[in-house]
Amino acid sequence: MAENNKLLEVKDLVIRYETDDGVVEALNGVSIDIYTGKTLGLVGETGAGKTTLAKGILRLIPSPPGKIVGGEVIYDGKDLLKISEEEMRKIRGKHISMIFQDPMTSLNPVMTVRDQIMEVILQHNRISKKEAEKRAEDMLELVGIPAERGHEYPHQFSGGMKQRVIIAIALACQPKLLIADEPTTALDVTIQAQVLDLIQKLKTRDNTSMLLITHDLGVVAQTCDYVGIVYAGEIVEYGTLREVYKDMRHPYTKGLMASIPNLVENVRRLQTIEGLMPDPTNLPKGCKFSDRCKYATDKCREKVPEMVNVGGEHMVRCILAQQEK
Amino acid sequence: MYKYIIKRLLMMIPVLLGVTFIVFFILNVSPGDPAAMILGDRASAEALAMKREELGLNDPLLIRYFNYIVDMLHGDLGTSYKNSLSVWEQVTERFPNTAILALCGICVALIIGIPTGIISAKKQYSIMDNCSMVLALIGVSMPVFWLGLLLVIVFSLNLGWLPSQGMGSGGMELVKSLILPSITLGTMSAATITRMTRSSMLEVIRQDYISTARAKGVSERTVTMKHMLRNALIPIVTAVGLQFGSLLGGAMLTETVFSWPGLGRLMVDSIKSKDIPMVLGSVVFMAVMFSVVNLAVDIIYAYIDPRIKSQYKKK
Amino acid sequence: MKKDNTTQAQGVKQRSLWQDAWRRFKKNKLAMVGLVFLAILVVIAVGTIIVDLVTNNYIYDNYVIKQNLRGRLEPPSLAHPFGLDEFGRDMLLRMLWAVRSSLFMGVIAIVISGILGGLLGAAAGYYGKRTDNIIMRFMDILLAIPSMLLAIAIVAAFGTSLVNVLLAIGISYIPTFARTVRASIMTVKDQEYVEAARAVGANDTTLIFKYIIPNAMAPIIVQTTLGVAGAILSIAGLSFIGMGVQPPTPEWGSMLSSARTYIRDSWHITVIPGMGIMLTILALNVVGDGLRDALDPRLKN
Repeated sequence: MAENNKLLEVKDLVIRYETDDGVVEALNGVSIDIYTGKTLGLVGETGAGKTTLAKGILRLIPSPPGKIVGGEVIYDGKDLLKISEEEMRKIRGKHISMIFQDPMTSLNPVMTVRDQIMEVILQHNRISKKEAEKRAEDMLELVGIPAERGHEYPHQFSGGMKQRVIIAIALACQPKLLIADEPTTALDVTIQAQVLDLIQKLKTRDNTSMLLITHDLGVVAQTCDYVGIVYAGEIVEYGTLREVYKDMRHPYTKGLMASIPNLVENVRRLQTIEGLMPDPTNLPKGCKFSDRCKYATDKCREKVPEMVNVGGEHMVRCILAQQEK
Repeated sequence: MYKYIIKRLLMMIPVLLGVTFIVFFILNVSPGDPAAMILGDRASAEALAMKREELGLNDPLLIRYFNYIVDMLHGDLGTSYKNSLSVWEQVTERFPNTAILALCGICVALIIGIPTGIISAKKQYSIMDNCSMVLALIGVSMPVFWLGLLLVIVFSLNLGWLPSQGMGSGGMELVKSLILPSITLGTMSAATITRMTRSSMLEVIRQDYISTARAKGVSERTVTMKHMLRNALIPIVTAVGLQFGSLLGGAMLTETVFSWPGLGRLMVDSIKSKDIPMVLGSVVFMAVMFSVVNLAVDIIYAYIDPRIKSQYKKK
Repeated sequence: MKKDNTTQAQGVKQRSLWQDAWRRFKKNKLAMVGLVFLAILVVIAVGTIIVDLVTNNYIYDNYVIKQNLRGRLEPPSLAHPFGLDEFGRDMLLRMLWAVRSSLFMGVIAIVISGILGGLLGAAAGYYGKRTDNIIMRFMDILLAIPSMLLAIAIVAAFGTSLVNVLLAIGISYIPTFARTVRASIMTVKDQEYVEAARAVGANDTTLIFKYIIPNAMAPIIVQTTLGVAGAILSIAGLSFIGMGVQPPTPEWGSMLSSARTYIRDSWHITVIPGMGIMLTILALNVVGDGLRDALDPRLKN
């Protein structure tokens, strides 16, 4: 992929939370690239650091206790971690916007939904209130909500409808990048597909890039061009959808895939990955997955393995993959 | 919306009846013969019996209560045992003095409490936060009357800036005489409201919709005022309403310290002279006021919380 | 989700919950200072009672309440670190002897209201429906009378005896307790783990003692601490307007009341008793806050 199509580049991002119970190493040097119009899916268990990455890009990590320790987030030639808060505000909502996980709690309960959409429009466009109102109503229609419901409050909407409103807010200024943090996890299965389709449709229309965070490998297969597998604050495998799905290398990725029910083969019991994610205040010294990995050797426990390229854009953080190469 | 107000008004009636009954009951089963108090110890048995009949003391309690309520609705709270004055007139004459004091007190509390609470929450664990939390703790722990006395010692007796006693008549005099009592009365509420605002804001600060608002790129000021405060206000309003109750209690003490001619002092004086109708009248009057304030709070509540508003719109 | 887990853990692992709470409480320096201060007050209160018993009230009669017109309003000195009051009595002794009235009266008043309010609230919360309705409407009415007013009405009607003051303060705190207990029972009652216990055949008594009470304990303990603070303030307030503890019995509120007359002549008899009240209330509030944070870590932050 040509370098000039790169919309956003995250380099070695390290984020920590300093709590009473110790320092939580939430993100330990994550690098990702997002290309114009493409979707990168980040997959991992709860607590792997996916949301921290998403919020880190927008500099929305609550501080204290959160702290961005190192790394760069390059957008449009600038490091977003270095620009002023004022400049950052112009990026948020206009260039990069975000959909949060739980639609039930992501809307302000005391503002009408139209006002909430209008707020982002007025923030980034020099237009009259009247025009903003009109645009907000157009946005509502676009996400499939009748414009006249705009004067209602969030509690009058169902979960799926609220998520549509949130999508309308996120896309109201036609951002270049949409970060969607588990946008469908909190929704009913039937609604999930609708919401995903909607995101997909609007994204294609505006040629928006997307960072999709999920733990649902099926969703990734449907929507993503690139996949990153996240484990304990690190990317352990990265590549195009095809590369990762057809030729998975990391034992963790394999474990994840094996835990998906397969309707074609008659499996009596689902595969699971033994053990739990390591305590983020006390991570293993070497490969973070070594405690749960059945192939782990002493060497794995000594030093964090480097990311190695195993062909094309496919990268894996595993000693085994290095050796195979 | 008016349906909601009507509903709250209707709900207030049984509460008021209950309140008046409890106070009436307590003050009427008390030992001691009112007739003897009015006529003095040397009155004859006959005269006492006649006076008792005249006061309706021989009727059952419920009948007397019923009569009392009917009279009250006609603006008659009985006559004082002590000086045969109309209780209603005395109470309504004193009430504005207490009202102005309470109002100034609550203003002091709000002006200090809400901004301090917001800043504390926004800068949690900062020096500013720690200082205001310590001050607020001291504020809620300080007896109202002691604070009043200390203020008198400093600002009236030592510095001589402000009067220590009574209520000035009109203009500057009134304002000057209001300052110390208002601060005295408002301090504890200010401290409570500061703490309340802080914790309510801290709760809101961590909500997802605040992240949504920030992700829109709006300024921190807008996030604070429009998104946080609007939501944090809902529990604060309730707290302010409840504060008014302790404010009325505090008003009695403050009025005693500053010889303020309000309802509280009338009550204290009447208790000392065992003037039951006067005590009853002023307690009932204050309790009614408290209920009215709470009704107002409920209505404001409905205005700032759309979840309540829309509940009544649909019906 | 997180919330459910914590409450569940409370029901299952009570002991470690209390140990955990104590561990968290110990970390809170301010609360520990408050606790030590309260402990000292208790020692003083008990100590003065023992001294009175042993000396057959000799000190109390001859130094605490006996007037001595020679050294009136003498300011603090080495011999009398807190000075002498308007009747020439040693302020330090009077302050020490006053501890017990405030402390014990506050505690007794709150115990009365805690038991009555707790039972009413528990009944309302547990049985629900009509019982709940009747009890809570009554509580609403009581709550609609500002507590100080209610206390004053009771004392005005029945006279200023110790029992009446306690009763007055006690009754005025009943609704607060009833509400606290009811609320915590209502939240616990519908938790899934309680339903699960019911589904496997636990009866009412088991439920109440094993699940509901341990879970309702935290808010009740906090409420009790803050309630004692409120009660002590109210008693002092009543005494200040002459409706509580009567002179010459030493009590901080009534000491302030008599100090008022001499406010122009000397400051120490006004400042010192108020300081006593304030520090006591401050200690109770700090401990109450500390307990709340320690017992319910969810509420913190």
